[in-house]
Amino acid sequence: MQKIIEASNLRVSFGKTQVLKNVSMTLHKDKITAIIGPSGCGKSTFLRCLNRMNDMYDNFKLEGAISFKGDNVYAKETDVIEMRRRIGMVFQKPNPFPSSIYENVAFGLRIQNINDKKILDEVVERSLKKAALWDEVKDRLGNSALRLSGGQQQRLCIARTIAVESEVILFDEPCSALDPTSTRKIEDLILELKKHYTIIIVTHNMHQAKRISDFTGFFHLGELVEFGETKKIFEDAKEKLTRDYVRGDFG
Amino acid sequence: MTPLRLKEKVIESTFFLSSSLAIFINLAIIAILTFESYGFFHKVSPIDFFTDTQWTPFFYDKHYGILSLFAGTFLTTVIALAVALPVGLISAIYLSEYSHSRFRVSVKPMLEMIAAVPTVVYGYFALLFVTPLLKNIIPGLASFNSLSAGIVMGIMIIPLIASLSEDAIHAVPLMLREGAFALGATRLQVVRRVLLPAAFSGIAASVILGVSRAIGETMIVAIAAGLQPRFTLNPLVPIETVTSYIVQVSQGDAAAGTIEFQTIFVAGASLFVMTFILNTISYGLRKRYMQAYV
Ligand SMILES: Nc1ncnc2c1ncn2[C@@H]1O[C@H](COP(=O)(O)OP(=O)(O)O)[C@@H](O)[C@H]1O
Ligand SMILES: [Mg+2]
Repeated sequence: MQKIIEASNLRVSFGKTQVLKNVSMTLHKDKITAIIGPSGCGKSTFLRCLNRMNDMYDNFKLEGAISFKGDNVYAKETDVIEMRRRIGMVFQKPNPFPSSIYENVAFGLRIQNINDKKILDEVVERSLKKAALWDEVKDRLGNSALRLSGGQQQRLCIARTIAVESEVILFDEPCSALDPTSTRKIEDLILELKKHYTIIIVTHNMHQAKRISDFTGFFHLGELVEFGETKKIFEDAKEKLTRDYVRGDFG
Repeated sequence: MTPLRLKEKVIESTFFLSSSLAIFINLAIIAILTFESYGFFHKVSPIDFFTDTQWTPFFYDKHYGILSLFAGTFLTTVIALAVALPVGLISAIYLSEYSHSRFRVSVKPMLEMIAAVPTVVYGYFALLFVTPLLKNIIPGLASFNSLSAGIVMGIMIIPLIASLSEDAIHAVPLMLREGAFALGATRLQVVRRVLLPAAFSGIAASVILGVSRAIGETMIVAIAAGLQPRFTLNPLVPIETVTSYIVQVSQGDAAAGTIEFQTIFVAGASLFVMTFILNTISYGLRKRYMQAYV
């Protein structure tokens, strides 16, 4: 097992509120890591530290270190743009751009000034296939992405991320706005993606974490209470807090 | 009926009457415009009105070609827009996407306050400051011209376009920005490829409203652009707009019922139709972007 991301002693605050306290976690390549915990415990904040999405808040402050394949993510010389391409993100609510299906997938290439139609066509097709959406949309790539169903939109957002050749995909509760059928489709897709991508998924759904993840981290009040193999966390956790949470006794 | 019920009834009718009064006055204005224009077109053929290139109601050789007034209105409006659109839009983008939120919150009301400056002040600013300044650069510039009137009109419209476009850009959901950032977009790319297209109808609405303001603007052009109807697109010579013609004639002593008197109303009616159409389009566009994201 190869480690790909390593967070050590992360302390994160927004203004005066400390949100993460001394979080250390190692993420393995081509595995699915689930992050669970009650609302407001800092799951999204942790996830967004990994691709520097918190940078857009003026009052964001981070201490400690995150490395991605040995490079310090928060070093001065880090190319944030490049970093975000390699560590993609799929959000809680599907957020396709108000343009065509095709342009949504091509977006990440166009902003790199790749406009060659042959290349774009190929990447769009490949990405949509990998996101298990191709068959549903191949006849209407020019249609507005906003007319797709919620589940299709979410898979489009995954395709958009894959198109820029990301290595890691961060999912922040990607199914919380979806019905059970679409949820199942996304879960199957994530399992499929695991072959080539490292996946970190925040989820509220214990069944989802149990079903798809290899590792699970349990957050509580900004601390990583316990981290380990999913089977262990769900069946034989060391901490009482973890046992109570996965049994559904709180949160 | 109890006294309380009676009081309520009286209040209710007062409200009803005042709102009906506002509507009634507007309808009356439209009726008068229509009536007087009807009288006008009894004497002048609509074909002449829309094709003749001279407007000389007070000369011995009378011509009633509205085109020369339209040309003045068009010219000043285009110049105003050339100033207001880039500056207003860039300010809007800066305020919404680059500035500190504290800055944004304090500047927005200031923008709206600038709109309270009486336009007569802008008019004299154009005549006594901008024109002399431009004369240094452009030797052939007449003392009254559409260039400085248009530029100053543009300055006047900047806050309107900036404020309304800022509303439209700011209303684009945060999650769209985040989606683009997460794919490695720079801030400028987010603006250009996500925010401007998403806010397009709102920005267009603000621009059309600005155009409508420019077309209806009176004092600046009456003071600084001259009062000489001229079918031209040369920005350096005196012209006359539809609005400044109305001011000019209203100050004179055109007697009711005469054709001179009726020209005021036919010019007013053209103005009304133009701004009404533009405001309707602007309203429709704004409704569209509000629906898209609420
Ligand atoms: N940009 C921010 N500014 C201030 N506080 C924030 C910001 N983002 C998150 N927080 C706070 O940090 C805490 C953790 O938030 P979050 O990471 O979103 O929790 P979770 O995803 O686990 O529900 C919450 O109390 C939230 O209010
Ligand atoms: Mg969250």
